[in-house]
Amino acid sequence: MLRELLRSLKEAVPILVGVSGPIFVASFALLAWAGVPPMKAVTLPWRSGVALWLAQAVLAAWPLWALRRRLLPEPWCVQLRCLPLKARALWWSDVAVSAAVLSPLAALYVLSMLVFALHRPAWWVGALPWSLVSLAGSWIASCLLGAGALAWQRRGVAARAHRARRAQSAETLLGTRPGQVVALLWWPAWRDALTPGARSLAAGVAAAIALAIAWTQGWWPVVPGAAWALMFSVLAIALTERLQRTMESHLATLAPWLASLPGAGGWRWRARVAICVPMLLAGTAAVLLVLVSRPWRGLPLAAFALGLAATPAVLAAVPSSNREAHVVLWAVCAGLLTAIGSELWN
Amino acid sequence: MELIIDHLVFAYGQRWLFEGFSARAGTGVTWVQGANGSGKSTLLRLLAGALAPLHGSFELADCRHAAGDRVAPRAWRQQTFWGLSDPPPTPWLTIAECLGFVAGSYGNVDAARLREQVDALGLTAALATPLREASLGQQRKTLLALALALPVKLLLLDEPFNALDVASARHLSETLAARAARGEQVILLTSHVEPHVPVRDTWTLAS
Repeated sequence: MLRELLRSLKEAVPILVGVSGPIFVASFALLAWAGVPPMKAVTLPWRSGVALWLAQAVLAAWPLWALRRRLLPEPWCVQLRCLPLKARALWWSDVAVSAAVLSPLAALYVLSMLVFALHRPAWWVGALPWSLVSLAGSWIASCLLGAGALAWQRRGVAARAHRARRAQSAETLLGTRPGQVVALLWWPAWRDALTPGARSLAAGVAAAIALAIAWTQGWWPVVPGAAWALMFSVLAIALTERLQRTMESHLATLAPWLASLPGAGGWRWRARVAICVPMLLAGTAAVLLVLVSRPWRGLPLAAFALGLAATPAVLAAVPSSNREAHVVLWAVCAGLLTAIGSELWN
Repeated sequence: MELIIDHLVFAYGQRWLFEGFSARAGTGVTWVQGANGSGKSTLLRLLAGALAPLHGSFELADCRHAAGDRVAPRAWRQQTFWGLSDPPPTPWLTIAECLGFVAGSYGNVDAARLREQVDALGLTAALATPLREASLGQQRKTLLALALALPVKLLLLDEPFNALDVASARHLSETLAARAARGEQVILLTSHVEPHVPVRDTWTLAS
């Protein structure tokens, strides 16, 4: 029985190699692309080159920004302030942590460089050795930006402690009566009690609006309308989805306490509205931009606006613990918005 | 004024804590005692509306909260304050903001009375401190200041003497004793050690 199984597996080896081989080679080719932007940047006019180089460096540093609270939890920051460490030592430790986190990227860049060294395309050979300097410089810049993100996290904790010491009279302090939205949704978002916080969400909305501007103004006509619509809708849906998960865990912690307070009714639907806000903001901007640039596309625009309003409402109505439903909603909503969005382009 | 607990039934999944528990508490302090896991804190949570009973009802001063209510009626919550044993679950708020938010929820708080409790518990200097940076004692005092300032009829205090300094513990004891003497409130208090307040009744929950 076992011999039969081994023989059948042996016969399947060529098929497995035939199928997985191209996938393996293709994945290598994809990995090789990681280093292209910094290397290509030196062959472009200086403005485009610098923009491309910076974009790659910032994008590569983003994991440090996203992970800063996990890499440097707040209690650690408080402890660090108590230790007799010099500012320079702290800065070098941030750089070391940043370099460690970005070491897989360094390996990817090396792989990319080796693949290009093997194939030696004309543009790459012509740009030597500056393309390699640019590649190394991009990684170093990402490390420094990542270290900056960690330093920002440490500084944020110190700044909050400083704010706490600022004197105000007891009457003034006790006179504040914050409402539910401010105390339970707005302040935690702006005071880094939620991940993503308000700043990250604002950056996400700004990125979605930038995509909508690039789409409607035709900055890069080579990119088709459907691709812009896909990027815009996927980013907007991802923001809604992420905010929903954050909000649900936030409210689960608060729920028993709020249920015991007399004036705290209605916070569930307020939280749902808050979940929809980023996508509604980005959607309103996109609709206005299309309205200005293509006023004759009335019907598809109305459908697009309806889709943009309905998507966050539907996503927020289904608990994020229902993963299957959310995957389906992702696919359906992104697909519909992309299809309608590509119609607007025509 | 009397708190009536009638045939309370509650379980966490398959773990039954109350199977037809009935009791009455008059004004003054009722000491709820029992071993760990006997359901002392759960009883306070049920009375506060933080948990929903499976069966049974609570009644106090013509206001009723029964199993089947989606949430505790507003009138019930208006006359109840739950001083939970954990810190307030809003670490992003300063102590003053937390006091203001809860006081605003009740709406009928005497600002002078709140200020008096804040001063008596030694919280005045820490009002601008975010709860996440406050000590455990300061976090507990935030809830106790509210407990002692709010004009509620049912006060639920879960291990109120934990993490308090001597002066604050004395103030709490004296204030509760004065309230008990005046017959203003029904006070349910859980504590592993005998509280330094005149106790009117003692409920011992079995494990």
